[in-house]
Amino acid sequence: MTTIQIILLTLLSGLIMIDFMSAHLTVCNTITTGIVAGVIMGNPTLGLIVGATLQSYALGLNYFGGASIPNYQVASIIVVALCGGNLANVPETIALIGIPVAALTVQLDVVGRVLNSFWQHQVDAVVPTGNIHQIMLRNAGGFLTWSLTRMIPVLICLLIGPSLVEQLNQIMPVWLLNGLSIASGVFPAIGFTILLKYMPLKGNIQYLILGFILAACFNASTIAVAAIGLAIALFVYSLDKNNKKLQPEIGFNEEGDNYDE
Amino acid sequence: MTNEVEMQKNTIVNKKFSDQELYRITWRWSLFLATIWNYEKMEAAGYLITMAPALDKLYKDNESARLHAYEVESQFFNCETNLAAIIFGMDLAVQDEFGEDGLEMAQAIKTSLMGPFSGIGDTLFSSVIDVIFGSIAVTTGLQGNYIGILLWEVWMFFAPFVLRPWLCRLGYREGLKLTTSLNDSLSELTKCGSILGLTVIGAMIATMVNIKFGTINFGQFTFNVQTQLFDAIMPKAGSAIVAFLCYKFLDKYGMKSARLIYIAILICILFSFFGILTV
Repeated sequence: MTTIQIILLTLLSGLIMIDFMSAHLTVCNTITTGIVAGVIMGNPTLGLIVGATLQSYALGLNYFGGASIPNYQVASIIVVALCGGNLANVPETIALIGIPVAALTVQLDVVGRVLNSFWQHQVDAVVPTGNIHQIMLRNAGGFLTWSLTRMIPVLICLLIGPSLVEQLNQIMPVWLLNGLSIASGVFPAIGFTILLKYMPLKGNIQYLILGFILAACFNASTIAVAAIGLAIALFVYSLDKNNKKLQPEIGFNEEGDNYDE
Repeated sequence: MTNEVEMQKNTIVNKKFSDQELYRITWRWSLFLATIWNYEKMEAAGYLITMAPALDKLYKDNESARLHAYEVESQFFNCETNLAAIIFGMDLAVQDEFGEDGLEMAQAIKTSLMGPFSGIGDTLFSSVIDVIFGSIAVTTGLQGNYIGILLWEVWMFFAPFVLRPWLCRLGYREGLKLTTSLNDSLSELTKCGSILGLTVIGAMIATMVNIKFGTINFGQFTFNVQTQLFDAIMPKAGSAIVAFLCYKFLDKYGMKSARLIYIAILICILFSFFGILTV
C-alpha cells in the first residue's frame, strides 16, 4: 500500500459515518464502500465481491431505534486493503481480519454515541438564544466524532495490518482459522434473526418457510423468489380488500362457505 | 371529484409554505437528522435544525414565541427517517394553523406518532426494502456483477429526492386528518410488504447461511453427518437450525445482538476445534 492509498482509505472510512448519519446515499452501503475501496486499491471488482460477501452478513442489520451493530463498511475497507489485490485471498482475509474487525466495531458505535452527548449539551446550551447558526455549528461537531471513531481504528489497522496478517497466518492454528470461517457462514443468520424480531413473524411463518424451500430445494434465484413473494402479497392484498367490502354482508359470506362444502 | 381537487388547491394557496420550501426543509432533515445522535435526546437536534427556518418564518414578529418554539422542538425525538417526514409535515400544518398555541399539539403529535411510525418504517423501509434490494445486490455482486448495487443505489437516491419530500407534503397538506386515514393504508402496506420480505428472508437464510457438519468417528465406524444425513434429507437443514437457534436466543437471557455475535464466534471456534463443524 502506498501512503496515498492509506490516506484515501482512512478518509473513506470517515466518510462512511458522515454519509450514514446524514444523506445516506453512497458509501454508507457496504457494497458501495467495497467498490470505492476497490477503486482506490486498483481493483473495483475485488471490492465488489468483498463488499457483497460482507453485505450478506449485514443483510437486515440496521440501526433499529439506535441499536449498535457491527460496522461491515469499515471491515470491507480493511479487507479490500489487506487481501493484496488477489481474489483467491478474499475468503481467508475475511475470516482472519474481516470477522474480528466487524465484531470489534460494535463498540466503536457505542463510543461515538456516548461522545455525541457532549455535542448535545453544547447544542442545548445555545437553544434558548435561538441562534440557528450556533446550533448548526455545534451540531456539525457530530461529524467529527462520528468520523474520528472510524478513521483512527482504520488508520491503525492499515498501518500494522500487512505485517499482522503475515504473522497471524504463521501462528494461527488451522482450527482457529476454520472456526472464523465457520462463523462467517453463521453471521448472516444473526442479521436475519435481528430482522425477524422486527417483522410480524407470528401468523406469517408460512411465507418464511416457502421462501426457504424455494431456495433450498429448487435453487430459485433471489429475483424469482421476490417475484413469487410479490405475487402472494398482491393476492393477500386483493383478498383483504374484498373482505372489507363483504364485511357488512355477513349472509353472503356464509353462502360462500356452504358452496365450498 | 373536480370540486375536491379545486378545494385542495385552495387550501394549499392559503398555507404559508410552498412546495419548494417544504422540499428544502426535508433536505435539512435528510442531512442533519443524526449528526449528533446520542443516548440522551437521540435525533432532537436534527429535528430542531429541520424545523428552524420554518419556525423563524412563522414567528418572525414574535421573538418570545420563536424561542418557545425552539425549546419545544429541541426535545427528545427518534423516528424512522422516511416516515418522520410525515411528522414534521403535520407539525408544520398544526403550527401554521394555530400558531404558538399549536405548539403543545405539535409536541403531542411528535411523541405519539414517532413510536408507531418507527415500528412501521423499520419494518417497511429498513427491513423489507433493504432485504429485497440487498439480497439482489449481494447475489449479483458475488458473481462480479454491478447491476444489483446499481438498482439499490437508485432506491437510495429515490428516498431523499422523491419519497421524503412527497411524505412531507402529504403530512403538511392533510395535517391532523392524516392520522386516521393513514393508519389503515400503512398497516395494510406493512402487512403485504412483510409477506414479500419474509419470503425473501426465507430464501436468504437458505442461500446465505452456510453450515457444514463434520464427521463422527467411533473407532472403525465413521459417519459424515453432512453428506450421509442432512444431504439425504434436506441439504440446507443446517441453515434452518442455525437461524432457529439464533432466533430462540436473541433478546433472551440478556443476549443482545452484540453479545450474540461474540458468542457465535466462540461457539464456531469451539465446534471447529472438536470437528463438529467443518469449513
